[in-house]
Amino acid sequence: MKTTRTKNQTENHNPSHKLRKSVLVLNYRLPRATALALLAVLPMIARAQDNTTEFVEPSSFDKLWSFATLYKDDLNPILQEFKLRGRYQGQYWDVDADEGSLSHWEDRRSRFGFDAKFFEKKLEARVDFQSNDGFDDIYDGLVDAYLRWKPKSWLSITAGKTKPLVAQYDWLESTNTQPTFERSQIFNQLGVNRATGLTMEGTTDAWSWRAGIYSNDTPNNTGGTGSFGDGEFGDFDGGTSYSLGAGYDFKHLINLEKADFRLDWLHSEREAGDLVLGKYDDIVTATFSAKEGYAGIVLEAFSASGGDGNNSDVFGFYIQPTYDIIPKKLQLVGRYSYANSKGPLGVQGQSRYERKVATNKGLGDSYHAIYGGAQYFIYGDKLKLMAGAEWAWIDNEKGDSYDGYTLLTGVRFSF
Amino acid sequence: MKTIKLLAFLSSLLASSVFADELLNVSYDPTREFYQEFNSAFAKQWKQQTGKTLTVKQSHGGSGKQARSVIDGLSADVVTLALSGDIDSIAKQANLLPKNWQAKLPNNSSPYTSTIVFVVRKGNPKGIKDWGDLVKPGVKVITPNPKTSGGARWNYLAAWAYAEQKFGGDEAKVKQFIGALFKNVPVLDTGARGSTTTFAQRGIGDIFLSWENEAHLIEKEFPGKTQIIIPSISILAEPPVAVVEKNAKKHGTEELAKAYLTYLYSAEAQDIAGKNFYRPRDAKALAKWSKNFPAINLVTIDKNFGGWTKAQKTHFDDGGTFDQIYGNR
Repeated sequence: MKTTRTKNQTENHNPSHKLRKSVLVLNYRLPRATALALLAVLPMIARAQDNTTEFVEPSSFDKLWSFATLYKDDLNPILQEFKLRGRYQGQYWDVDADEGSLSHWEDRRSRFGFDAKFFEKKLEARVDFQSNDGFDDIYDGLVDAYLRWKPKSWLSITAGKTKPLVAQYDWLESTNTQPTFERSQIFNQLGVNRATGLTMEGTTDAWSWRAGIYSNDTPNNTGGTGSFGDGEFGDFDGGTSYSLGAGYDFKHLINLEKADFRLDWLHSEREAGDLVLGKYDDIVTATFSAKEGYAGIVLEAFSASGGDGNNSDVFGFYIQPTYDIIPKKLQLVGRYSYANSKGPLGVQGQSRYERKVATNKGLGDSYHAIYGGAQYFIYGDKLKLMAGAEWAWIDNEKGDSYDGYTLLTGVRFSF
Repeated sequence: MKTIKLLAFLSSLLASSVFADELLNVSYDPTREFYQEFNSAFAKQWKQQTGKTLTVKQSHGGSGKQARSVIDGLSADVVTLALSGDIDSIAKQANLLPKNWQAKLPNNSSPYTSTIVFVVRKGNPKGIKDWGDLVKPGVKVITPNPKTSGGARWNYLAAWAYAEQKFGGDEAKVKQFIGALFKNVPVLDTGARGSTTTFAQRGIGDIFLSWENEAHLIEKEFPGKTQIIIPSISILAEPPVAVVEKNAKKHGTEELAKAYLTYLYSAEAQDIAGKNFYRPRDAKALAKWSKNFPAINLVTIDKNFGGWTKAQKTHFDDGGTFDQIYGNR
C-alpha cells in the first residue's frame, strides 16, 4: 500500500521545491539585501507549510541488524525465532605507573552464538562461544550454553552453563550495556565466572527472588579441561555452590524511572581443583541502581569471606554515576572503586592491566580507583566508541604495590 | 556581501532554534494518515498561539511493540496507542507517566473510537458474512499478532465475544473456535499496517480483520478491489492518548504535548477524525460523518472482559488463552 507520505514529499509538499520557487521569486523581484534577509526565515516558512510531520522509519542500522534474525514465525508451533548473536570489543590500553608502563591493542571480547525460542517462546536456548586475543584460538570455550524454561510469566528456570546469580550490575548486567571497559576491581577479584548449574528466578509485583546451584569445576576456556566435547560443562566432581537473592523495585515509591535494590548471597562448598567459585566460602553483594532523566547511578557493595592463604576476608564497593550530555549519543561516566582486606595481601589490582606492571604481584590490603570516561553511541549500545582513564593505587604494609593510570580507547559492537 | 550571507545564515539557524518546536508522537500502525492531517491543523493553531513552528515526528508500528520501544528508551513526548493496556505498561514498567494517566483527558483519554470490521475481496468470493465463516476450511484469515499489535488484540476479543455468545459462554468451545480461526491464519504480521500490506498489496488471504479506518483506506487506495463486511458483533475500540510526562519534562515540551492532545478534542480535530474514518466523540462531527459508520452491535472491554488489565492477563500475557490455543494448534 502506498503511503501518502511518499506522495506528499515527492509531489506536493517537498519543502526544498517550494523553497527553490520562493528564492527564484526573490531573485527577480526584490532588492538583493531584502531577499537575503528574507532567506533567513524561509526555512521556517517552508517547514510550517509543508513539513509538519516527519515519519520516523527504521534506520539503516535497524535494517542491517535485523539480518541477524535468520528465522521468525510466531505461528510455527515448534521454533518461533532463531537469531545469531555476536560481539566484539577491541581496545587499546596504556598503563603508566610508578612501577612500570605497558601498552597493547587487544581483541578483548569476541563471541559468536545464537538465541532460539521454542514452544510459544516458553523455551529459550542460548549458546555463545568465545575466541581470544588475536583470535589465536577461534574457539576458546563455551561462554553461555543453557536452556531457559518460562512456564509462567513470573517464573523462569535455567539449566546449563550460565552466570551464577550474584552481583546484579557488575556481573549479571551484560558488558554490552555497561559504560566502562571493565567490571570493577572488587568484583573481578572474587573469582566468579560462569558455571554449570540450575537456577530459578521469580517475580511478584515489586519483589523478585532467585536461587541457584552450581558446579565449581566448570572450565571457562579450552585451557580448562580440554577441547570441545571434552568437559565443556565440567565433570561434576568438584565443589558445589549455592546462591540465594531477593530484590525490590521501588521506582513507584520515589517516582523515578528506575530504582531497585538487590541482595544476593553465594555460598561455596569448595574443593581442591575447583575452576570457578573456589576462592571464598561466602560472597554477599548489595546493589542499588537508579535512573531518572539523563542521570543514572549504581552503587554496589561486596563482601567475601572464608578464603584461604592470601585470600583473606575482603570488603569493597563502587559508585558509578552516568550522565547523558547528548541523549542517546554521548554519555559521561565516572566510577570510584574501593576495596579493603583483613590480611596484608587480600586485595589484588586489575589483572588485565595493573598487575602486569605492579610489584608484589599487584597485591595489597587496600585498593582505590577513580575512573572517568565517555561513550559515544553510533547505534546505541550495539555499536559504540568508548574512552576512559583510571587512576588506581594499591597499598600494602610496605608501601605501594601500584600507583598509576590506565588509558583506554576502544569500540564495542554486538548483535 | 559574504558578511551579509553569513549573518543571514546565522539568523536562520537562530530563528529555527528559538521559534521552532518538536514533538515525538509514538503511535500505532493505522494512524499515519490521520495524524499527518491533524499535525498540520494543530501546527497552524500552535503557530497562531505561540508564534512557533512545529515539527511532529511520527513513529508507527504495532501498538504493543511501540509501547515496548518507549519502555526501552524511545523518547516519546506523547503516545497515541491502540489500547490502554499498552500505556499502562509504560506507566508500570518505566514509570514515565502516572498510573492515573487515563483520568487526565476526557472520555478516559480516548478522543475517538473505532471498531473491527471484515475486508474481503471484491464480490466476496468466499461468501463471508460473519465470524462463523472464518473457521471454514479453505478460508484464509489475515490478522496481525496479538502479542505485538493492539489491533490484533481487539480482533481476538471481538472473535471471542462472538464465540462466547454463540456457544453460551462455554469456554472450551470458545477456545476451540478461536483455535480454528487461527489455524486459518497464514501470516501473522507484527502490526496492522503490515497485515494491510499482506492482504491488499501481496494479495494473500480471503478476509482481513481490520480496523474500521484501515478498511476504508484500503478501499480508497485499491478502488474496486475489496469490500467491507460488517459482522453481527464487534468490539468498541477506544484508542487512548497520553503525555509521557517524564520525557516531556526532560524535553521541555510539557505544555506543547498537553496542548497537542487536548486539541484532539477540538471541533476541527474531531472533524479530521471523522474524515479519516475514526468515530469522533463529538456528536456534531459524528453526525457529519455518520454515513461512514454503520450501526454495529458492539461489546465493550469493560463490560465483557472486565477491563484491559484483566483482558491482557487472561488472554495475552504469557500462558494466557492465546498461548494456550497456539499450544493446541
